[in-house]
Amino acid sequence: MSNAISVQGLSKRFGDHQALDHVSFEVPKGAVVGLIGPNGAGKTTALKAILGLSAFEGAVEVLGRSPRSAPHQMMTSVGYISDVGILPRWLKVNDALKFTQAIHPQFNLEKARTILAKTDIPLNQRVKALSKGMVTQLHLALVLAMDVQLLILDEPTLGLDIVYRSKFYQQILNEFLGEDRTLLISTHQVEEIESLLTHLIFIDQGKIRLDAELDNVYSRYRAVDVVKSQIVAARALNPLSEQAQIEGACMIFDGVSAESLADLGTTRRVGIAELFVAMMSRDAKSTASI
Amino acid sequence: MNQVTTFMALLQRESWEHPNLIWRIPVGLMILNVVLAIASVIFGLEYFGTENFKFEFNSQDLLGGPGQAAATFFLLSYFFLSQMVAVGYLLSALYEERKDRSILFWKSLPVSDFQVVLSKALMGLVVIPGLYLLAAMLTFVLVTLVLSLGMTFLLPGIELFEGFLMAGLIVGGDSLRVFALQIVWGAPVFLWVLLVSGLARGQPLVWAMGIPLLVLVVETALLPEARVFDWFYAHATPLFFAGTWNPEMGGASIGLADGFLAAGIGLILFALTVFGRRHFHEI
Repeated sequence: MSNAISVQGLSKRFGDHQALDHVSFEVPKGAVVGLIGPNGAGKTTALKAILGLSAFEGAVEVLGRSPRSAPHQMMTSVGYISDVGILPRWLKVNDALKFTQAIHPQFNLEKARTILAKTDIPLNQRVKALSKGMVTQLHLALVLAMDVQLLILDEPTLGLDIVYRSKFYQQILNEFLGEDRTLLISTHQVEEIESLLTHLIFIDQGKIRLDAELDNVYSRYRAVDVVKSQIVAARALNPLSEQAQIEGACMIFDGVSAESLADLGTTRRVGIAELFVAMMSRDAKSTASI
Repeated sequence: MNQVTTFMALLQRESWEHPNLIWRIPVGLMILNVVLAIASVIFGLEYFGTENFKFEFNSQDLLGGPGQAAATFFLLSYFFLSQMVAVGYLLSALYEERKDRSILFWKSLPVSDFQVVLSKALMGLVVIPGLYLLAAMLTFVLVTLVLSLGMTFLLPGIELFEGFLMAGLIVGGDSLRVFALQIVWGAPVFLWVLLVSGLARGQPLVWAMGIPLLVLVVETALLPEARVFDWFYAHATPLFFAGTWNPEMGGASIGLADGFLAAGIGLILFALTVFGRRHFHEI
């Protein structure tokens, strides 16, 4: 089994709204996958299906198990942070540690305490007395100490300031990634996780728009800061997007060789955020896959 | 992971969330009653004066009358309160976690819906009434002790503790029986409330009361008598106060068939609640 997650033909409908429409993708073990999409694209719906938190059509397998058959057993190997503020407000930090230790077979209390010791979180405080950032730190400390194989994060840093966001991802990098551990993360703040990612999935209107290894994305899509005199020539190569700049335009090309772009201006690695915007702006009806 | 450890942690979790309902109220009542007993001894005797105070009962008299009345008072009042508290607890038990979205956290832990619902059902049906019963018994013993000691020291020759205590044991023994019967008797109503708590998108109290009332309206309109509603209403009444109260049988009782029916319906409601939590929706 080389996949941590396998999703085949996943569909979910809320009344008239088709939230997910025959979505299929795989998350290999050890991968760090970014699930990127605009609001209402179906990211949370997909993650909830993977976690067995909602009914769905299609086939989902997580670490070799079906999430619908015994989700609580699956959760011994899976960690999940949905977003800030889902820890119960009445729970004391100490009690959260005590409870998790009692119910989670792999929970390492010492590790959780060590992680929390590096924060300003007082152990005798209730969650309601903590700041948003602290609540997220606490939740992350709990999850990291569970020693899970797969971590699923759904907008985990929404509403946090830049310092907490940076600390959050740094901690994931230091304490979680490696040893074949898999991370599936959905976020709007793409720039902050770009350096962590190995795979990228773009989702929009319940459909997968892009599903690729990041290296393949970089070799297929290129961004060029086109000089003014080359704009017409550049447009002839059918760019995915064009963004006017003071001295020319920034264009993103799909499948055009580096040699062909060399004379147009400065070629650089495409940013995930700008690629995402470019692809979402385009009238993309068909699923792109590499 | 040991199932018992998990289950104990789940019960403890409830006491962290609802400390007032689960232990602060009964402990507070116990302390209040003991303080009132001490005050009544001190101020009562001071008011009457020990020479003029006439206490016409002896220990043997207490066994039959006032002693049992006092014990029944404590046990009944705590029992009734415990039932109100338990219903209030069950009404929010599966509702609040959906309302504050903390269910997403609880669901991310390796604990089954069956265990969670069982912990909440047992907390409402057994643990809360049990703790209040324990508090009632302790209150009675402590109040009796205070009164007896007060009278023994201030009114030499009067020995009341034994009589009070024996009366308490008789009433207490029967209340244990009623406590056990009430679990079965109240199960359909308590677990109905828990089911509503797990399913309602808002106003669980309105749903919990509204649907039985709707049943009453439908039954009244279509049938000669409202048997379903009457049955439900009877089981919503704590056993001490329900229609099956029979002093000749030494208190309350349940017919065997009705007991099985109540337990069966309770089990169905429990299973539905587990199913409901599995397919939960945030509010």
